[in-house]
Amino acid sequence: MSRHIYFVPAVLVFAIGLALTPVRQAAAADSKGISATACQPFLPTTYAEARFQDNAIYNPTAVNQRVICPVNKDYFGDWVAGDVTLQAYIKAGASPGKVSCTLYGGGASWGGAQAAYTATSAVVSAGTASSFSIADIADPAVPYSIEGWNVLCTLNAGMSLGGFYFVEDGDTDGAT
Amino acid sequence: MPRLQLLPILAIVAAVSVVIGLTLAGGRHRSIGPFGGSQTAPDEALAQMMQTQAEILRRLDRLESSRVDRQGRLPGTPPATGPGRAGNGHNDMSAAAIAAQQASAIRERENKFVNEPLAAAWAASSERTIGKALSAASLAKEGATVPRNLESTCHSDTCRISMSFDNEQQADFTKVVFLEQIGETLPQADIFQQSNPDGSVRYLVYARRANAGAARR
Repeated sequence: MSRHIYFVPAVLVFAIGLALTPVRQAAAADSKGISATACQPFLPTTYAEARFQDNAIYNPTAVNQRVICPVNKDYFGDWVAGDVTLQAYIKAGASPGKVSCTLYGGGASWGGAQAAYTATSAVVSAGTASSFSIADIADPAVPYSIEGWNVLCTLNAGMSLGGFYFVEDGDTDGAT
Repeated sequence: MPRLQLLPILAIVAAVSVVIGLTLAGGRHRSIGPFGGSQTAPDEALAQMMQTQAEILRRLDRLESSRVDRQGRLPGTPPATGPGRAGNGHNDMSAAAIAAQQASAIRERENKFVNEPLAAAWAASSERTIGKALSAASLAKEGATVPRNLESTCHSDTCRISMSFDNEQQADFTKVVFLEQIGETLPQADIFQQSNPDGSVRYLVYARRANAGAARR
């Protein structure tokens, strides 16, 4: 037998090794949960007025209270309408109520533009949970001077915010 | 040791030999193969190596193309046109460049607005919504400040709202309350701020109804 017979397994070993080498690719989409405990009271709301629980923020007062929460963008480049959705989980207390959330990008006072996307839930019956989404989100057609997205939510009396589900349907780094 | 058990070791040695051999033989005449004798096996090896190299290049292409954004830029790459979209290209900008960029963006946004056709019924209804949201009765409930010099004009998809405040704190909080109030009618907005030396602030807001933004891109 020719000594060349050893050449074939050598190439095979090399080819198999190459085929098994993992190639890290950007994720095609990134979905994540955002805990409500990442939020902070938005003045004039205080921590006494936006009560933090182990899995939610509760408005124990008789008037509207606001909290602001970070939304980490993992998308490469600009968001395009239809690619991004932010879903908020809410629950009513002893009386029916609503929650309104506005997603902010950029900062108006920093030059450029600030983008804002608002959605308000339907009235949620007392003691029940619900969710609603901010959709049709896109980076503004005009530029803004700072990166950074936040969602600011207003909770009616007795309402709770349980967190968010954030979907970026496009090339992301897949990170949390 | 049986010959079969030696195969993996021989395979590895052979693999290393192939690489070294091909490297050394790269510039030689084709008739002198790395292993001598028959030319068939080295030719096959060369073909497979080239195939492997092509596969590696294909993988690199795939990896690179999956990382570019919709403008074809790699992450962190400054934009190809203009002074830059600082929020996306992450390039540094001077205050003058930011101001110039904002002025240009306002001109662009205003041009789109003035060219938008008028839908009288929708415009009148939306202007009423804006007026109500910025009324003293509505803002007082939330502890927000009533703006000065309020002007609002709506066309068919977009409303332009201009308003002034004594300071940025008043402006910022009223903006939050205002956007909540108009959210059901005008859920999307681009907001520009002009800060004056006396601390007063003027907002220029282009608020639009849902899905109107799709036509912008």
